[in-house]
Amino acid sequence: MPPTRREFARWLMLAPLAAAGCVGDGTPVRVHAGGSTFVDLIMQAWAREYRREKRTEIDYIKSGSGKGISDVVARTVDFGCTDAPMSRKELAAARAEGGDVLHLPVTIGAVAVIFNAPGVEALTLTGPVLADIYLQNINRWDDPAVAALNPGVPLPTADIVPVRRAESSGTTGVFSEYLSKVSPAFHDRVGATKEMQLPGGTGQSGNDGIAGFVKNNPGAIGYVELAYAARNAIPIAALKNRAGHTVRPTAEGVTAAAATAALSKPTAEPYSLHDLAYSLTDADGAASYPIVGVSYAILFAKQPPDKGPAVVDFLKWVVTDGQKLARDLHYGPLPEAWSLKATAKLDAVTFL
Amino acid sequence: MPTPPPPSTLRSATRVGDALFRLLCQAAGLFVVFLAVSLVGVLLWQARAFLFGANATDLVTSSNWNPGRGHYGGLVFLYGTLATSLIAMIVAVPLGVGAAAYLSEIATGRLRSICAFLLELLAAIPSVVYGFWGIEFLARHGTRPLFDLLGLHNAAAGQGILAAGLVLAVMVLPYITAVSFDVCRAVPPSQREGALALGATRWQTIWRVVLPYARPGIIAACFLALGRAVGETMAVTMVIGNAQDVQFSPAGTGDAIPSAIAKMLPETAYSDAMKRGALISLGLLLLVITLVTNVSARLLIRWLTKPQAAAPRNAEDVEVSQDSGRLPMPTPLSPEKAAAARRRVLLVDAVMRRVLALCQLVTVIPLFLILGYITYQGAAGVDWAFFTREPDGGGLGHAIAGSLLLVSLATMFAVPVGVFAAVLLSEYRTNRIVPTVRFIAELLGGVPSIVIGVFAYAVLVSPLWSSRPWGYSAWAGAFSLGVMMLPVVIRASEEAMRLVPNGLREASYALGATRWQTVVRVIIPAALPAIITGVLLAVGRIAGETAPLLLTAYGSNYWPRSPGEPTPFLPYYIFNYSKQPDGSDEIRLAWAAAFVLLALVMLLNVVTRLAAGKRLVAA
Repeated sequence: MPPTRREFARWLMLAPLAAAGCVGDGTPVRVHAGGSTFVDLIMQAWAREYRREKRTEIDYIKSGSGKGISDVVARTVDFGCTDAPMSRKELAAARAEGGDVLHLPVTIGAVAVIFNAPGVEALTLTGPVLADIYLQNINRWDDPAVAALNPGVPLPTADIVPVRRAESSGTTGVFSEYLSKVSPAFHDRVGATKEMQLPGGTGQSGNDGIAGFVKNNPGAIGYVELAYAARNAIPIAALKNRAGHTVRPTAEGVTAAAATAALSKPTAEPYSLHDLAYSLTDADGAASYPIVGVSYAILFAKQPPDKGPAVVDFLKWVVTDGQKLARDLHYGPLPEAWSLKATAKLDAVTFL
Repeated sequence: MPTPPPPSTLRSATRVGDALFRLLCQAAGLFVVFLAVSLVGVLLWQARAFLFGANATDLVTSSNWNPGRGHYGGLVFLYGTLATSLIAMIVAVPLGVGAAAYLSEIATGRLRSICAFLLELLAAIPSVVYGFWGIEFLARHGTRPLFDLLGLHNAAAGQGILAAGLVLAVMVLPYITAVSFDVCRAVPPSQREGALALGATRWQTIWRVVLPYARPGIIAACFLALGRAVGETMAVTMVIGNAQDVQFSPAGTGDAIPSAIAKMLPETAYSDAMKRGALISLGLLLLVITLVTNVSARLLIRWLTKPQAAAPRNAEDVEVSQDSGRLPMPTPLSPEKAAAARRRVLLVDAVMRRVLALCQLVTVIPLFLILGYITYQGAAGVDWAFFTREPDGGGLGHAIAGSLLLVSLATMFAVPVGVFAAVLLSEYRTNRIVPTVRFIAELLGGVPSIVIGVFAYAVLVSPLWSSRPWGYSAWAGAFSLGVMMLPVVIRASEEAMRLVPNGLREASYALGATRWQTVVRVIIPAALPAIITGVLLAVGRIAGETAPLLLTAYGSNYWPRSPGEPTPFLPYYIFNYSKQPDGSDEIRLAWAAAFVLLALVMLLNVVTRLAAGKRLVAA
């Protein structure tokens, strides 16, 4: 594509001018944000759309949910995103720094189990078998437990390489929460955690890191937000849900899980610590996909007057108008009730 | 003709100027010391919750790392660091020394200068590029087939301890070779001539004369390389496989200390004081390891280079006769035996010459593999949009601009401080603080980059003393890069100024110039080409740095507007996009970015070399 004159001028001017710190053509507000990689694909789409509509630049840097929480608490970003609600300990640290932290659901996503087994196109697993694979109790593709679930599938005689996240991750939080619910052995040895300590295997950083590794390496199995599997055309395993149906992750399955799970307010931590936090794993309902997570935007209830209004406006747009982008990107739109509650929460933010 | 000012005002003015100049140099030197002390202080302060807690010793006694459940066993990381460094040394030391011996003793003229040039290029490749090459090429097409062939179980498609060790080996090879080469060249020609005159072959001269003579310097080179291997972050974190359990197998996956800190520290900065403490304690442990290697290298050299009474040669060389301690009379060999022995010696010589040449060849092969593979994958992805667009539009122009901003700010910080400190070291040698400054500057050169990132975070991003954070910024990023540049700039400038002939200084003083006039008007101009070379080499090194910037400059998806905001940098995209699957847009950008970064750094090196006109060793 031929360069426009403006681009060319900008590039020429930038190198020397940037050093002096003055580049500008009517500077739009720039909001700095970061955290969850789970939400990154839709967040970049939101940022693109929002910049076009409102000129505000949303600078979201994916770095993992753990870093998102840490940066919000340290007030080094304007808002963060996490897929695992903050724990009691993290909330206490936040309170000491800047008061209460709001959790606002921004999108719902399925965690897809992706695999790379040569010759296998469709694979069905159950939660307990998946847990055993990650615990390396099952370490061959042609293990009887896997074969029993996949009659007629030519499973390769190869090692299974379970891939997990290398850094603290909300996707891992959702995934390990599900495995802990369905496998007592997993619950005892690993538990629901943002960082799984597992025997062997390998850790890769980011949803994209796992997607890349699984796609490139035969024998691997991993878990990523559905959008990452879809855009890279990586085979996805079907899972048996709580009702015993074999389901594949889809935006509909996500919405179904949200619909049933949202009926009751979870009593376990960390969900019970927040008004708008829901546990959607291993949900009831015939159509519900079992590994579903909510991504939350987190920010202090008291916002600085300079950037605060821009952050609140953007998040209001995200939980309402922004939801129309979800389905095309394989995320599940928020239920109407959640959007309303989130908007009400945002209305209550104070600026000082 | 201008009238000279009255002598009294002239003298007092120059005296004040001199004093000010000395103060300036001392201030620069003290600033370097202050940086190092505050670095250690900050680390200790941040680690206090764990370091002075009940289970601090777990870090070196337990291999159970599970912070979620309160276990902080650091042996996994220690093992990973030591095992990868050991593999790197086992591979790189014989190769590097062999290559250096070949370059110094066998190769001549053009061949030598070409090889030396290639080694320098190898030394300038940014670590993130090494890592990228490591996962995409070495692990997938090297170690993975190897493990399959040997029937070893590897859980990470070739990634793991061995792959990380090999990448490190490639990274440290140029250091070992370059420094060993310099040391071999420094062996007096009379030594070689003596050996050759006695009828020794080339190989015998190398093995019995040159290498033993050069041993202290070679050992120093190895320790230098070891320090670098122990502290390397990005390349290791990309290749080591990230498993937090100890697997005593070359095919095992693992984790290393710098890599663990880089991955886990950012997310625990505020939420978990114990885990943060444990990670920073690991950083301190790494610092101690680096310090011990550096100091022991220096002690070893001092001890080995001390003039000693000629020690007896190896016992087997003298062939002590069996009965009692009488000195053996050399029995003349029969002519056939002598001829056979001579033939054997010549054969060994011929073989070993080829082995040494092979060492040199093997040493430069990775350069061609890396350059070739990255050019092959990346050159096609470079188009106009790459330089002019944000990631949205399929380009990384904003990151190139951000990198330029970071590197120029870092240079503006490091060069004045470094040059003034170097003036102190070179021109005020009797000053009391000189030994301290020199020692500290050398130690600072061995501090792993991620630890410097932690320091910069605690000083400029979220200052320990301030209740309000200052936020991620190019300032913080440039500061961390500047701290990394400082030791290189100091060392290069000091060497350069020392090489200025004393006659120039004397002539200047004889004309009545003061100290500062001499330095500013005579010495610095004379040393300028070499100083510039040193600065450019330092720039080449930081241009590809990623680890400390993740903690300081943060990254951004937009064009940088001011140094006070999060700033994008090119290596970030190589690190991040390199994880994407084959065929995606991102991996295309990653290859293109690696290619551009490599091309820029190489260009900088070639220009430097042409400008300087002589081979330089960056240490």
